[in-house]
Amino acid sequence: MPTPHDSDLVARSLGGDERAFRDLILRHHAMAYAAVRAVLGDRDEVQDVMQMVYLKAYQGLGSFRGEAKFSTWLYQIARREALDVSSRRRLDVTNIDDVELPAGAGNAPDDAVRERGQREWLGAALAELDESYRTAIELRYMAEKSYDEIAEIMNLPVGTVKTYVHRGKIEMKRILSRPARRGSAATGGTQS
Amino acid sequence: MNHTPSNCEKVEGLLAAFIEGSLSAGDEATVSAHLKTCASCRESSAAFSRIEEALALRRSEVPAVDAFLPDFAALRPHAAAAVPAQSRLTQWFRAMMTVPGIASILVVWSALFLLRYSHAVGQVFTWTSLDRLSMMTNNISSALLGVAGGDAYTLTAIYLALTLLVLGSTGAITLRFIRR
Repeated sequence: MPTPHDSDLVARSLGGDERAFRDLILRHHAMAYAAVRAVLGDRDEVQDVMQMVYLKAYQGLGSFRGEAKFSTWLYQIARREALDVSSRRRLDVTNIDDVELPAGAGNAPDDAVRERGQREWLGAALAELDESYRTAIELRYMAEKSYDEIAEIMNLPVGTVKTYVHRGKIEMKRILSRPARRGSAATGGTQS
Repeated sequence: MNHTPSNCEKVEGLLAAFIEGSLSAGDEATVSAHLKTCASCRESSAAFSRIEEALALRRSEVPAVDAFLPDFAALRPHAAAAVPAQSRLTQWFRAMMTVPGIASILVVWSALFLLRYSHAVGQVFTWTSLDRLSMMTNNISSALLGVAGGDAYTLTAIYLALTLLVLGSTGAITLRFIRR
């Protein structure tokens, strides 16, 4: 059975098929979540915002005219909701220098400890990035989107998206290599 | 590519894409050749590899969708239909236990009381029109049912039937109003 197109799922959802709406959201959930995380980071409000995003998408599905892709439409809702919450409360950026790295985070024998360390310093580094860079990176890695898909979702040229991702990584390397950091994970503890 | 600061700067700008595997074949060959001779750029390359490795963990941070989906049942326009079914009698009773329902009961029974005892009431309030109406009701009941005028039991039965008719209609209207 061929995978239904987004527009078919939208039409079925509008006809009251709740399962079709669930399938539609499931298809784009990682993207919407990445968009919200790019704005709000790891804050508690993410869960509430995600619920609001899907509620608004469900209630506003009738206004989706299909001129843009459903993913773009949903991305705009997610981003708007996240920005709305963010503007009400300033993003609490975790200072990367406050993140305590587990011993030998870059090469710990225990994978779980190593992963936790990686997640923590990565999250802190991402929080310091320019929001455009962070969004492009989250869509690329958290939502596993291709550059073409990200360009369509963010309504930007593909070249710009690539630049955002690569500059973001260069910036992350610079952040993680700061002299103030003891035993930087990104440089495998070789920096002083 | 020679090991000069300007070359290193150029390679540094390409390393993120190199590690990601999205460079053109020509650029990839250039970077590979440079890395063989430059320890500083190899160190940078290792740092980008660690960032890439950490970014690959991001996907696993996406939680399941179910916790965020709306409660469809509550959002349905006909959500009331999802309420456990009640018997028609219960629905009618519930409808009657509203302000319009109770008011209609009081009005109907007051009117019937006045009709039934209009003669006595008329003596007090000289409200003879009600007395005439009572007589007319007696005549109608006599004509329709063939019972003797003034038969208190028959009249009471007619009043009760009338009461049920009025209350039933009021209840049905109220129920429709509540459902809307």
